[in-house]
Order: sequence, then structure tokens, then C-alpha cells
Amino acid sequence: MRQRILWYVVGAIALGFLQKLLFDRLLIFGAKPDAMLLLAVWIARREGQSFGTTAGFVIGLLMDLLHGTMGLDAFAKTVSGFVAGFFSNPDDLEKVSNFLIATALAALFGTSAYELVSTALQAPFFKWTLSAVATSLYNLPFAYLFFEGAKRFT
Amino acid sequence: MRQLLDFIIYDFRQYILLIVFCLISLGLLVNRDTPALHAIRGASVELFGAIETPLKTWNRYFGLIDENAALLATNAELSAEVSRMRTAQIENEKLRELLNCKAETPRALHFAHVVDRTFHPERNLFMIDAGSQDGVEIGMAVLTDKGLAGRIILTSPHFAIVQPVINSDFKVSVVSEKTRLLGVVHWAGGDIATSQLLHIPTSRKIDVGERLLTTEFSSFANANIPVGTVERAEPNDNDLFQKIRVSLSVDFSTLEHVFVDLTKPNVEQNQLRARYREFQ
Repeated sequence: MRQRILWYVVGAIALGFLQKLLFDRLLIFGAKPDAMLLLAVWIARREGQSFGTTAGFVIGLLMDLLHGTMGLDAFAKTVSGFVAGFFSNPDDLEKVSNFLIATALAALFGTSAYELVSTALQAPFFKWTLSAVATSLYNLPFAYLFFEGAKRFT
Repeated sequence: MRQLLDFIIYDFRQYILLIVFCLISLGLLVNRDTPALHAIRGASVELFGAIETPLKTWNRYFGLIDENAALLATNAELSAEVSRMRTAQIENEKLRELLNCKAETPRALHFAHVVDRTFHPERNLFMIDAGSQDGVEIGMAVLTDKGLAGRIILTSPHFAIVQPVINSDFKVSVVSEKTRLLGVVHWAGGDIATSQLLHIPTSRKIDVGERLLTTEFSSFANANIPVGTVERAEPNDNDLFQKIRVSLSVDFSTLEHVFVDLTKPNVEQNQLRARYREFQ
């Protein structure tokens, strides 16, 4: 378990810089690939909902430090980790479809939380819905690649 | 009692964690401008800036290899020479404009490179390689030779974060050059070349093409810095104010160099404004 946590920490730092230096630049319709979200979903499915929620918070905090903001990413990723934790059934861990659904829902709820908190609940319904759905869909191909890559690695 | 507590903690711990972490996150968000969190954010900016700078240099060399390969492929020494001269000329013109800007401005300016940019549909941010050790302070205006680019919102010893005009949290009071109408330029997301001019009554006429300059009473910028030009003005249905689109002076898609206006923010004025807000 300790070794796995160490790998998660190393992965979070590496993916954090990848996110900041590359993925943050691939913005389409207000959505961008979210490597940290994928890691949070992966951890939540493997380790359960409590661990996933905690991991989401820590990962979000790391992104807050990299972005220079405070609390926004932590809030969104906590919600994402919690949502992804509902998909931690051990029988479904190897199913890519399960990972994709978990990613889509985690992105949907996480982005909604981000948009609503960042605008102090003033975001127009259409705007945050579009952003949440776009992020959710945009991350699916990356989720597939991440799942296949991480499966071989573990 | 203990059994009940164990039951709650064991069966609902994920919900308890969710609530606790969300509350901590909101707490951090609300208190992000406290000195302790400011220091943490400053340290993280410094750390990331230090990592980003060599990577940026590496990227430049990577770009040069590509450029060289393209030049070899053309195998035409003369055209390559012309191409290089044209590039040098454009760069030279840009640098001359920057030098003119500095020479024409009596205020103390500090030249800086943009070393990182946070892309966001509404909240774009830039990092520059000038920090508190260069005299940069929170609240200082950031300019280019074309006009106002933004303001400093966070500093570390060697780097600073700039909130640009193309950030929905940024607002600046402006005055139209000819008609002397006062309004506020606010970017609401979308196209990074245009913004909106707010609070111009429908009863007043503003000319298309008119320049918008910062006012005397801006809380951070000196007066008469260009912000943009009026691109389109039309009455807003059922509203007292016009709907005015502004073409921004600074091209943010190619922004690489900036000046920080080292004029210190007027602390007394800002304190008075803060006290007035508390009073309200």
C-alpha cells in the first residue's frame, strides 16, 4: 500500500507539470484535457471512495499551487474523486467502459462545481452546462489512452 | 454512544470527508489573500517559474532546429538570407517601438518577458520574469507599447502573476478621447481581441474608432494609457446603457514582452476605498 501511495504521489507531480505545460494549452470550447482528473478517477476506483475523495482534494491542492489559485481546483477535484468512488466495484476495475463512465461523470460534476464556485453561483445555466459537458466529452479519448497505458504499467 | 459514533464514522466517512474537504477548499478560496496563503502562493509561483524558465529555453532551441531543417529543405541560400533579414527587421521594429515607448514615458518602467500563461475561457493569467526584487509590487500596471496589458496580482522574489485585461475579474475605468465619456472596460470571455465598454448611457453619442484611455482615478494605472478603440456601439434593448464593443489595444495572442509601471499604487487612496467598501 505504501509503495502504491508513493507511485500515486510521483504520478501526481509528473502529471501536474504535464497538465500545466501541455494540456492546459489544448483548450477547445472552454474545455481541456485533465490529466489530474484521470489520476483522481483511477485512484478512486482502485482504492475506494474515501481514499478517492482524499486523493482528489490533495491533487486539486497541487493544481491550485501550480496555477497560483487557492481552493478552486481542490474543491472541484474533491467532488470528482467522490463521484468516481461510486465506481470502485472490484469486479469492474478492469472494464474500460466503467472507467470511461466514471471519468465522464467525475468531469461533469467536478467542472460544474468549479464553474459554480468560481462564479459564486452566478454562472448562467447554459454556460456551465456547456463547459461541463464539453469537458466530460473531451476527456473521454484521453481517459481511454490513460486507462490502457496505466493498465500495462500496473 | 461509542457504537453510534463508530457506525457514523465507518458508514458515512466518505460523506464526512467530502464535506470536510469542500469546507477546507472554500476556506482557502475565501482567505486566499491572507498573508500566510499569499506567501504559499508566492512560493509556488517562484518554484514553478524556476522550473518553467529552463524548459522555455529548451523549447526555443527545439524551435530553432525545426527552423534550420526547413531552411535546409528549401536549399536556397538567398531566400533564406532574405527570410532571416525580414525576421530581424520585424523584431527590430518591435524592439524600436518598445524603446520609443520607454523613452516617451517619463515613469520608471521595468522590462519583462512573459514566461508562462494560464489558459482559461474567462480567467487568463500571465507570469512574467520580474518580481519583488525588481521593485514589482501587487497592484502595479503592466503595459506594452500599444497600451494597457493588465495588473500585478501576485509577486515572488523573481516572478509575478499578471491579471490581464482579458480576465473576467479585471475592470478598468476609461475615458473616451474625444467625447470624454466615462465608462468601464470589462472582458466577459470569448474573443481575446475584443472587450466591452460598460455604463455609457443611450442618450450620449460615442464615435466608432474613438480611443479609450485610462482615467485619472484608476486604482492602479496612470492616466491616458490606451486600452482600446470603440469598434461598435448600439442601443441595448430595454436598458439605459449602450452595448459597446471595444477592440483591445494589446494583441494578447502574440504577447511576449511587457513593461511593469513601477509607479507605486496610491496606498492612501486604496485604503480609503477599502474603508468605504467596509462602510457600505
